[in-house]
Amino acid sequence: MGGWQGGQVTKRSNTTGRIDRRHFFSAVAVAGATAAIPAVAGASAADAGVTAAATAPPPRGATPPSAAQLAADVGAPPAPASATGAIAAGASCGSDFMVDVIKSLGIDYIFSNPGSSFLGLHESIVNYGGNKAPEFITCMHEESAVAMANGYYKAAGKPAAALCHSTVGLQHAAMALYNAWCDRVPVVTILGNTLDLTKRMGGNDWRHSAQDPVAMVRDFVKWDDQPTTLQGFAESFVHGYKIACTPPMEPVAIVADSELQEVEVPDRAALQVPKLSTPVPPQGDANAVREAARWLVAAERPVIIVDRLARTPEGMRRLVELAEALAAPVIDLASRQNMPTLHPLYQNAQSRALIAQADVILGLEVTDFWGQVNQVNRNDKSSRSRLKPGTKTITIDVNDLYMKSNYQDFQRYAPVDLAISGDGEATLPALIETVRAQIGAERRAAFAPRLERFRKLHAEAREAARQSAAFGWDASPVSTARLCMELWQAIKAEDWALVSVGASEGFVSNWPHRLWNFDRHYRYLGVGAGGGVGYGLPAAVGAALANRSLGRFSVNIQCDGDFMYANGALWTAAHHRIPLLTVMHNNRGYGQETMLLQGLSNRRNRGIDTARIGTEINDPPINYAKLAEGMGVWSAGPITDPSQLAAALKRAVEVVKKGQPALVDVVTQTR
Amino acid sequence: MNAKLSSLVIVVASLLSADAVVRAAERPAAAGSPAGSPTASQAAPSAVRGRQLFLNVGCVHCHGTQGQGTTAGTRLAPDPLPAEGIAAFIRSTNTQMPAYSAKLLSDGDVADIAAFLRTIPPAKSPDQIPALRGL
Repeated sequence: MGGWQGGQVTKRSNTTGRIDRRHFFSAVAVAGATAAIPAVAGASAADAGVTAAATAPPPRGATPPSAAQLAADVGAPPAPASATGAIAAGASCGSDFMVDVIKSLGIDYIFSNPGSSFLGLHESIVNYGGNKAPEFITCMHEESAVAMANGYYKAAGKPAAALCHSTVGLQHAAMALYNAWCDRVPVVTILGNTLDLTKRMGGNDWRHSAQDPVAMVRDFVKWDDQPTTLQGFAESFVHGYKIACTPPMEPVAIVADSELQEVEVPDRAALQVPKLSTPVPPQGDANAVREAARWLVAAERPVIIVDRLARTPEGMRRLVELAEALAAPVIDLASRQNMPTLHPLYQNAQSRALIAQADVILGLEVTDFWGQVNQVNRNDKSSRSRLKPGTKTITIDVNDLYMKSNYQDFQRYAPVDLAISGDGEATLPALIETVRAQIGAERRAAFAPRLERFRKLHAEAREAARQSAAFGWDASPVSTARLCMELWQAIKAEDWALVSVGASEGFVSNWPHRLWNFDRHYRYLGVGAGGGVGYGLPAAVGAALANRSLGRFSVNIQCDGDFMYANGALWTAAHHRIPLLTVMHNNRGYGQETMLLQGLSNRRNRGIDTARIGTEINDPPINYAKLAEGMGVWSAGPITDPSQLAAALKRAVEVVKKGQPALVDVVTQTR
Repeated sequence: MNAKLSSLVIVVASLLSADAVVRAAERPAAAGSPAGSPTASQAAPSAVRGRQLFLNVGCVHCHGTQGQGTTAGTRLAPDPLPAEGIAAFIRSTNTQMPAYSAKLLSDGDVADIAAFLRTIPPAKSPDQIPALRGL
């Protein structure tokens, strides 16, 4: 059995215990945004089209850019539409300026499916901007585009943009935006729209325009704007980027009006790109942190529960420092990879007992703290506390710093004893420093045997998992234990990252976190947080795109039901040469729903043999290897004989290491 | 269950492809004796019928085709509980595990399922499995 080897995350810096906020945000904020971004050198003025500026009265209920506004915006009267659509020598167009704004923020990729409402911007990205930083990533569906931006952020640590076509494109994108919202992921959504009714050429131009296009997703984006001038677009875009990247991080939406995109800009120098003001994340109140430290140091059975904490290597390193200082077990809910799984204080296997016995519980960036300290029963919809009387509870998170009421992702109210509003990763240095200052010789002596006890429990849990994995090892359909452990053998020598397991790692019985070695914060990116199906594959492709430039080997365990929502993402991976190993967890059904339907039928005392109706994907069975092959992706399978799995995975790894996507279709047990 | 029948079950199981296993689960438990049928409880426990029931009435969703267990359901085999123990649990459970009334799954059905679970051989040692060594 392996043990914690004291890898990167256990190294203590020279600034141990000191608060280092300067570097905290470096992974998400883009430094060096300039006050005025020059036009892209070498862009050909004749390359882009242009139309006349708006001259018509505004439509009801909205205010499109007027001719006067446009004139003031660009520093000269708007040019009339030319017969050829060519831009005058030395001039530019609105969408070129928009590209300058996007470039100023260091956005490397724009995930999009093409649409007429952002034709001007599309043309400027690929011609004026040279299709580099940002590069246009061709997606098969707007839901996939946003999911890719979601996955990209979690791997790259900085936002990408998703460019959506007006009404219908945003309707497609909505579920993925909700997933990003629930996942606290900043996605900069750009939306085409034609506000001026006189510029709509009939038919779809009308159906694809709205007075307030963002309205339908406003409940789950943090901020939005529909600027009516180019200078306004620049300010709103930079402002929106800043808002998205300020904890709690969330998606934002900026409308790029089609007329603004196409207006001629005779004097580019008159337009300014605002400097990005890098936000410093909020830190928990010092007195409250001191009180939390006092409780934790005095506790005999402290427990740390952590969910969406580590955005950077610092997050994992600091969590290890805190846990080691207190000899406190950590339960990692793993919406991010917060705690190294081979560390002896990684104690997920004991989570129920630990919570039941705890005298102090600290929740770090836990969205559903109530759900951790209460037990629910779906049969009778009852709940009971898991805590013993007198247990003190502390939370440090940004959950209540920005909240909306309609969609209920905020979970049930948790009446904790000490609720500290502040970013978890930013608050950890102060907490660690205070904890260390309060630990005397007596407490230190008490902690030592505690650590040894957890070291033993950790080893026992790993061994128990290893023993469990052997059951059903030769079964057909292939057991999820074999699927995951043969995969681990195939990738463990690489600098790997498990970029997606769809909506829940429980669908493969949590085998990766039970037996793999997650020793870096980027090894795991969590799941589709809103539970919206169709996240897995596109999010994996987005993350793999980020990992391509970071030299990481991306792995995706892909559920079949999720795959069928958004399988066009495979083509995107093939087209853009994105190296990604996808291993199908092909259990030929919607496993979770099958189980829930089974339970309800039992409770209603009828139909216990009908749970597969409407939940099975098996008549006919889908050949995912052929689907992948048809989209230009190397594939193998379907594999039903488990003895064939290792060889197929080995071949697939070689394909991915050459820079291509690969898919291995494995017919599996339910979970 | 006698040794001959046990061997037959293993042979039949090995002959079924993965697809056939799933398709088998779609069929009624046994012609003329559906789950819960009083007639089922009058016969000697049948591992073959027990396997079909196991695949068909929902056990497999959480416990796996060999009763190996998942995060949603505990391991049932090898060394399963006796039929009486299984029946006592599934009649009264109020956990995430759904209860099965005698109307839906008779004591005879449960005996058949228990007979099937007894046919499942012990797992290999993880030390005999390369992918599970040295973890």
